[in-house]
Amino acid sequence: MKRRQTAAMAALALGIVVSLTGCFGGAGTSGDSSKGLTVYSGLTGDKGAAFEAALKQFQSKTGIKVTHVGVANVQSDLSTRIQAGDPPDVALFPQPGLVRDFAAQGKIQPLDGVLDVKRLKDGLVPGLLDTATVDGKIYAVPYDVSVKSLIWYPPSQFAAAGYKVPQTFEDFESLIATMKKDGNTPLCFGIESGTGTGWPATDWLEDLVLRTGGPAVYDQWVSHKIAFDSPEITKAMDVFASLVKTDGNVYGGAKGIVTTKWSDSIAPMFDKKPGCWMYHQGSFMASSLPKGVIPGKDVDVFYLPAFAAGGYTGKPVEGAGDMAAMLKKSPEAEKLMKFLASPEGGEAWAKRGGFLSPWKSFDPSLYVDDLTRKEAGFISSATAFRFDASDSMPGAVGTGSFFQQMTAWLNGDEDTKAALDAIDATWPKQ
Amino acid sequence: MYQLLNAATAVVGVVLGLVGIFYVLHLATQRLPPRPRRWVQPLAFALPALILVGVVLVYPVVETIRISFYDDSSTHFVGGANYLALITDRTTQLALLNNAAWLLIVPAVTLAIGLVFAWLADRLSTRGEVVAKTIIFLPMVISFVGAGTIWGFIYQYRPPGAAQTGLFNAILTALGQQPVAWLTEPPLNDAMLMIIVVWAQGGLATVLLSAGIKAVPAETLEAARVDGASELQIFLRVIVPQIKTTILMVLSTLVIFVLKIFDIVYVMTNGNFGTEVVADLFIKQIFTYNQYGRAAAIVVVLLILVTPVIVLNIRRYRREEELR
Repeated sequence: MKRRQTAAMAALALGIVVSLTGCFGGAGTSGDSSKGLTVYSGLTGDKGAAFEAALKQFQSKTGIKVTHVGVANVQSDLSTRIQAGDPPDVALFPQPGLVRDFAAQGKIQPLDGVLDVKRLKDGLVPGLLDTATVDGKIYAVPYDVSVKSLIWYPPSQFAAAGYKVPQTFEDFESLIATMKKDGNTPLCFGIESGTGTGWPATDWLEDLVLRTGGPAVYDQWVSHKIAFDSPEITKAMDVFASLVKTDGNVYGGAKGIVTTKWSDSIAPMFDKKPGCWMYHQGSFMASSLPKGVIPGKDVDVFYLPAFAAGGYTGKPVEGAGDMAAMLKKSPEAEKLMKFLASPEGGEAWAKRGGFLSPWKSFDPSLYVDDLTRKEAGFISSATAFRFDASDSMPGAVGTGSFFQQMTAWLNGDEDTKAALDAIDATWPKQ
Repeated sequence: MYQLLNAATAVVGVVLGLVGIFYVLHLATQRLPPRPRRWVQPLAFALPALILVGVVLVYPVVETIRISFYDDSSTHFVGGANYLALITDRTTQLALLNNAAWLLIVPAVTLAIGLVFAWLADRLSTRGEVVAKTIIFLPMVISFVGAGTIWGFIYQYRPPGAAQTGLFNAILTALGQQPVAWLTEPPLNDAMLMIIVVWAQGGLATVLLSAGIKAVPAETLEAARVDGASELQIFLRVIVPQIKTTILMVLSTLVIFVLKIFDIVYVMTNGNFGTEVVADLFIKQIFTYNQYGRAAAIVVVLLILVTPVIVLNIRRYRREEELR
């Protein structure tokens, strides 16, 4: 009897062990990471593959093996790894704000001794390097950028109607008036984007703040030294209201704006007689165009011009981009940083499309089409490049109240002051 | 293949493991002298369940309450600041108001529809009843995210003049009316969202209530008919009182469900246009704003709101047990 019990217990113990290993055996073990470098980024899919092509070029040049890890939510992933004391060697940060946070905590290596700072300052588009500078030290360099200060328009219909690409913001406003006089609806606009509904409106407003207030006001606004409910931001909102809240300016009116998906709102532009003529959207619009629309032929872009008078008169460009930073110092990592912080670093990707270089000297012939070359031209001639403000604001504002209040404002639920006040109220107090 | 094997091992292993744990506990307590065994053995058998409840229920609740008094990094005590911030926040006030509206309208309407349907279905032929109940139960199997997407097509709005791809607006414009932006005009949009939940939950209410109606003794109905009661009177005065417990059960399930309503709002309006609800606000606070303190405070508020319903439920359950 006793023996049978012991045997049964042994069998059961085995069962428990099996069940435990069955539960935990699935968790994959990571490979040997002692060899070569690891790079983290938010680039997945096509973009990830294109970035890996660039890394391969580095690998064949130097013989240093680089493993790329592209994750959808690079922010939280990186935070976790950094807090856990297991950072990758190099990372591409999608927001400069994140770079500054980690730099302040001493988690990122300064690059002043590693890279040729003068070359960076002379060669890069102005404004980019400043975003990743803390206490005079450079912590990250831009690797790739995108432009948001673009107006998409149908070139042949424009020519047929006798419309000209505006050179100043005043021209832009009078072009809108002319279109209305001709019985046309000037603007396409849609802000629906699931849980991100409202972001196209924040992009528009940010671009206008850059034009009415200029880069200095913009920077103070991003860090909340200037509140939303301030004369400066109210002024930009008033311009925005005159553009999109005036009757007959936008296809579908307020209801159309809040219910139309951002990528669908350009569709009426390609009706036989364009339902709307101009759409403010970033360079990434090219990959979300309706089927059969050929970028460069059926649709083209122009730069949203600055005011001739009464605003910032330089050439501001709003955009986004990835900032390369070194988290673990090693001779190999330094070599990779030098590669990423050079025009050559982006060549392989540029040839595959979907890439814009932050370098003024980048060879335009490497870009895949004229549209990209045009966009690159806007960047290289910019007097100030600024990152998307909402990306750099605290989450409760930048992905929360800013989106929501712009949506409510466009839907007519709230007036300008109420919307701006409501955003200010959600800015974290700590 | 590896995953399949892993899953199979897990299933077999967990069952074996559980049986094993109890067997071992049994063997261990068996050796005790009879007197202490009488109270040790039940305790030992309850132990795994107690540990499980402790780890997955009690601990998280206590921890959530603790976090609700701390800052966003959960390291500094901030007193009632999170609660104060919530009370003064306009969006939270709106969410609480909306939840109250959901609470008052949805369970009542769903229950009424379920009752009427169950009653009417009961009067159909067996075949007809099966078909009718299947149809009304069908939405139950669709996830709310799926339902949201489907209804999104039905409510779709396009500007006047453009081809209307949404069902409702296609009908309206065919009748010569202007299209309506169903999801962006408060308070119409709240009602449109509630319709989806009624549509999805009506089936469950119907099936449960129908089972209750079937259990009503036929003699009571016949007696009522002999006394000359109309069918409506029979329904209201004979059937409804006899299925009171089922009605209360359905109602409390619906109330709890509605208090934590989330998916429909998240998918269809993301809380925009005045449709924000408490559970959606919680998701936003924790996952997009990273404000853990406030997120925890919302959960605590939600917990407090649900507690009376749960207490009532348990009381009623106990009473029924006593009657048995």
